[in-house]
Amino acid sequence: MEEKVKELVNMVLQNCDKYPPKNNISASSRLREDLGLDSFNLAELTVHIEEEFGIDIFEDGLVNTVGEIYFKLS
Amino acid sequence: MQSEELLFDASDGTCKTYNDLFKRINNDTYYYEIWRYPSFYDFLVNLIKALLNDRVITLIDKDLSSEELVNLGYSTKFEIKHELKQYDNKIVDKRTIIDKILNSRSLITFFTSGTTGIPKKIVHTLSTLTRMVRVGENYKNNVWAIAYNPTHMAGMQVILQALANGNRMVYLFEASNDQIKRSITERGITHISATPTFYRLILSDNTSYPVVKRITLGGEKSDAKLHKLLAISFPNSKINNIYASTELGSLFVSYGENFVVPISIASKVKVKENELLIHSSLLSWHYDDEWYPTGDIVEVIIKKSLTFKFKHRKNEMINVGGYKVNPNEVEEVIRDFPEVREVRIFGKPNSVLGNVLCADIVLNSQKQIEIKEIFKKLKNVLQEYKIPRIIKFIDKIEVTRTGKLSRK
Repeated sequence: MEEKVKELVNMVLQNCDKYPPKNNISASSRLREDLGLDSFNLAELTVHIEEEFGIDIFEDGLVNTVGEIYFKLS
Repeated sequence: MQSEELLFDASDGTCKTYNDLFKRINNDTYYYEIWRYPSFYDFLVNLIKALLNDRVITLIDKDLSSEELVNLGYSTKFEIKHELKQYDNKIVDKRTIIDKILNSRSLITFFTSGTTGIPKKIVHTLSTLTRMVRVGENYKNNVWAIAYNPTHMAGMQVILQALANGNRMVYLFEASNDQIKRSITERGITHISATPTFYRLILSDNTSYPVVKRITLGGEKSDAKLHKLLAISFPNSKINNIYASTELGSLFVSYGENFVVPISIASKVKVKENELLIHSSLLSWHYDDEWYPTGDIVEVIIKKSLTFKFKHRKNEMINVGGYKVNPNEVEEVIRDFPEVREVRIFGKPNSVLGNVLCADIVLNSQKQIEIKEIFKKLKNVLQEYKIPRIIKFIDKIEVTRTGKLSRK
């Protein structure tokens, strides 16, 4: 699951020319501050994650880090 | 092809003549006020029977479900049948039947396509329906393609135009792209009226249709690129746009991108806050206010002659993170890519942005492009919020019951 999430994050980063990220993606990576994702990128990410896992990660509020995504999906 | 041919149905190969029609008219003792008809010919015969007898008729889509029918206020019965008296004087010629149809006192009920919520009932008379129908010797040999849903306004306009001149009709609405392309040539079609989406889906790189004399576009915003492509595929055709709606019938015609309001109705058309308003005297039913809001947002080009360009539907804008996006604008940009044959922009509810902008793209055959490349190209020409974030390549574009791009 974690590998797939990282794959999707990387895809979104590539689509908006923000790839590769400054640091490797880890559970503590903050989506906005560390990976540079804006609202449009996050919206795109939620759709791909929902298509893959069937869960809308932003449904009940903000998700700030990659680790929080893992949590919502487990 | 017989010269007395009434109809060829491209989706099932049915051929009917005016004589077949007369037989039914003269012998049937019933008609349906409401009917989920099995075929277009059945629909046509039934419609004509209603008109000849000055009876009411309500047009419902062939594929309406019981649920939808109940929502429209009807019981789940798909048909209401009435008896008709047989004619004492049998009809045996086109002229008689045409005159009777055009002078019918029938009331015809349409449903708006309901893209904005619950469909509304709109009642028309032959007078409002035939406002732009032209009859004459020049039109005698026209062969009309029926490329619209027959139970909606645009389809009805074409059917009445064809019937008014005793023309042959070729039913293309339910046909496949291949059947459509073949029929245009094989059935000698001279006149086509359809949505821009219809034309884009059948335009291919090389086929030309020299016999077609008139191309009319309606129902959706068209663009210069499409007009160029049409001029190539239909080299001997005059091309124009028509402005019509279920509520109003047909109102104006344009050549090129701009519509000009005819002097005869100039005092009955105005623009307020960029929305086109029509005086309620042009409506076929009673409307409380003096001015009827069409829901069409326009750009006025020349104020004096009220020359305008259609921009988008009022409720077509997609709210993306607080920004309003005009899907037509984004589609126009993407259609410019040589790899793209057709594109549909729509919004999908999203927890982050309210709606996320999506694009379904049909590529030109043998052309390839990566999604990454599309993003790159779009970044150069569109503001961030107008860029669709979910892009998918598909085989078939989703259209509404009236043949327009679906916004869902």
